[in-house]
Amino acid sequence: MKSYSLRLRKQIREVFIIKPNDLGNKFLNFLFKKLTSYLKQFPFLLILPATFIITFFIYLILGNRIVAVTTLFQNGF
Amino acid sequence: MVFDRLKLTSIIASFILLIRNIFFLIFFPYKGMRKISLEKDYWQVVFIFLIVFIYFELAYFLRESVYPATFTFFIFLVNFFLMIGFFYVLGKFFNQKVEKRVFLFTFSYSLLPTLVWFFTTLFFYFTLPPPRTFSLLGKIFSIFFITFSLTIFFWKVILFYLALRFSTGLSFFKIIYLIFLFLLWYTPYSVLLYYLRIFRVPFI
Repeated sequence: MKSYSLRLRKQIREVFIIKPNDLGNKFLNFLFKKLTSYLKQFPFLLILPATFIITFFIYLILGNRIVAVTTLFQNGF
Repeated sequence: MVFDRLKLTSIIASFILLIRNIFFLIFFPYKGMRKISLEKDYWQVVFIFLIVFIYFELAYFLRESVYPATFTFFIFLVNFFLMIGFFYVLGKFFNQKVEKRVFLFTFSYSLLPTLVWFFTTLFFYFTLPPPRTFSLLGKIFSIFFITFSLTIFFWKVILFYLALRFSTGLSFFKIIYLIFLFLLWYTPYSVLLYYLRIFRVPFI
């Protein structure tokens, strides 16, 4: 029982290590919390489809030149 | 002998903790970075730097770079500690309670996406060497590679933001301001490193 209490206290201390974000406006705070809640757990679920859509638009804008961009990046390491 | 065994056990434990923290950063970045900000085991940082050094060695041997791996690693260390120092000084200006240790741990772990991207690019450089062609397969690979690079980039942005958030304790707008100030000097610095052929893509 004592160890559970210690673990709980440790967990609570860890959670409140920093103050919650305050963007100075209730609506902004709500929006920020809503958006970041998706990024706190396995963000790739949101990032992967988003990047795929972004890449698709890049392809629409650049067309065949996307191949040149990839070549440039492949030489980037 | 007993001491050696104890030391070895502690090093193995550090490695296991490193793997656990990496798992956290993939699946629960916020919780993971919060845990990392409380770390005091410096062996984990040593392991991360060792992986970085292994990457530079590999890149040097496989691509015949202009500079030896030890030199590139030295420049990386200078960049890394310059960046930490910059954020530490500015963080101290806004919040007196900041600790150097937290900066070291959080920013070391935020190198994870960088390492993933550089190792994967190295791998693709030899399995599917550039230049890419205009064929269907070439285009499909290009779309895949850009999607992958962007995904890693966004993951890096999240970890970089969280590293700053947990090491400085500042709010969102102040962190954005700090990042803006950082980019003001780091962008020309990266261009200089590019022209000196040390890093084509900034290794941060």
